[in-house]
Amino acid sequence: MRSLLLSAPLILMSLALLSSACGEFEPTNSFSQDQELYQAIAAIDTTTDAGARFSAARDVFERKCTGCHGLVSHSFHVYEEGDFVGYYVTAGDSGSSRLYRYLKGSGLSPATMPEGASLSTEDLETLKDWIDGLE
Amino acid sequence: MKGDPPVELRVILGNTRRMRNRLNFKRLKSRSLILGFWFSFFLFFDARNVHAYPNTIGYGYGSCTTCHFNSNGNGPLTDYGRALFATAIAAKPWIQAFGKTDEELGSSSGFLGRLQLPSLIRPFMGFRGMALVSDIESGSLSTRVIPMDLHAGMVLKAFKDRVFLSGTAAYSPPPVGSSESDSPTWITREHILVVRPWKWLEVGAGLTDVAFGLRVPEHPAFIRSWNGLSMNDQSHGAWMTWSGRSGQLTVHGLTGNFLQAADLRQKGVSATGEIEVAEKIRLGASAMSTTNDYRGRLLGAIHSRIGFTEGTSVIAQVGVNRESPVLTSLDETLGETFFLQSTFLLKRGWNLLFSFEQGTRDVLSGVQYFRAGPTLQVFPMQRLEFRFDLVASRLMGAEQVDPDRIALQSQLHLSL
Repeated sequence: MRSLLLSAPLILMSLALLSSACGEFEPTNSFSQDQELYQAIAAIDTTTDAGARFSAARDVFERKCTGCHGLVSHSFHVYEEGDFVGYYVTAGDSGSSRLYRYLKGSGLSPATMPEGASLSTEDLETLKDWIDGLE
Repeated sequence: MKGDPPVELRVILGNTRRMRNRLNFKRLKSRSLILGFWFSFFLFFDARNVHAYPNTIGYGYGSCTTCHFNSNGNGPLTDYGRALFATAIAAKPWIQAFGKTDEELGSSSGFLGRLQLPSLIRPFMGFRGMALVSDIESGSLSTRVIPMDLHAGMVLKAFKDRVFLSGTAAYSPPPVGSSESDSPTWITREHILVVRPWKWLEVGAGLTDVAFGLRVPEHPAFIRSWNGLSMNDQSHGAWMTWSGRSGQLTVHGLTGNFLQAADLRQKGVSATGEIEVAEKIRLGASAMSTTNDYRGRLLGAIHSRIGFTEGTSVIAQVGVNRESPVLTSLDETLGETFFLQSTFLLKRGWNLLFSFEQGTRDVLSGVQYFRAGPTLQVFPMQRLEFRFDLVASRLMGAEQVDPDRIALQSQLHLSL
């Protein structure tokens, strides 16, 4: 009983500290990006040509890239076209797009991604169509 | 009684001595049957990937409750667990500040060493860091130092440990490769209130790891990271655990992590159970169904833990994971994970492990991932662990195989 009486204040203090700090303790975990990811996917309008091209490109990323670059490593996000355009992709020009060069290789260097392998001609064509179709 | 080892320590020392003669050859026949069953199972299902720290089965400890406050393992150690760490798991330290004999080491295994705290308070602290050397296969080494975890916490207990409250706060570095500038710096991975009205029953509530499968310390393992059971994937909820000499069953109601936005919380239920089919042979099964506003998950797994001679064990888990997007018309994916890890006791405090993992995120993709490698795990003294993992990774597509990638992970784990 004495232990219980002694422990009660400590328990209450711990709970108070914890609850006051709750706002600071939001975790980054396996589910943190679900909203961003799934809402972006839902927003893709596959009835348009542009939407269908991006959806097909996303499918290639899902199959070939996100195993290593996905939510676990947080190094590669496949949410919206805007995530790519700029650094990875030059809209309308697959030839000068960094992403496409990584995957297809160029005259100066072989393909570097996926590591030790290369995409099928079909997959490369899908990505080329998407990039070249971007405005 | 001054100078005598505490009751817990006397029990540990007795157990340790008995363990050396424990192998019961009369049961070899049943073991052969069990091993045969698993071998056949793996062959039949083209089994993939399994893993665990639950390798203390090699010391004859089947239940996590013996050494951890949390009945499903992980988290702070009980007094018994601390004493066992000092007297059976860790080597006798070169520095003899904590004593020379096992009795002295056990008596000094508390948070403040020999100084005993009131029985109702058990503080703990820990640090885990890693030096990662990757791209070894290319010859152009890349080295990174990663402070993985720094945590502190306290267990408040009463009524002979039948009621306790445990809480932690931890520094959590941003995920590797993260570009988010607002990644949290602090996190709590556990705050639980547990009541054990009887020896065979535990009722608990709060934030803790989800009860599912083998609770291995390797958080990047496919059976953890791909199953949403990684280092920050704890959930609030309530659970009941039934324990007996021949097994344990936990049913865990999950509400998701209240410290996370409501739409992201994975709500549902999980269950994990394990039965001891023979001495130092445990078979288990787990199931989980959860969903948030964006995706549903259905997981199933079976596992085994087999102890051989002292400190030597094999643990394995194979499971499937179905993900169903809620919002979109995307197809469901069915993934699988397999984990296998053997532990050999070289000498007290020195373990050699070998791990093998295999998994696929989508069985239809034909892409499989493999990881394998040896680990040297050294406990030079209680409170200190060094771990050196040489890990080879391979990605195997439907038509081609990538060359192996090799990394060396050197870890330091300090626990007070």
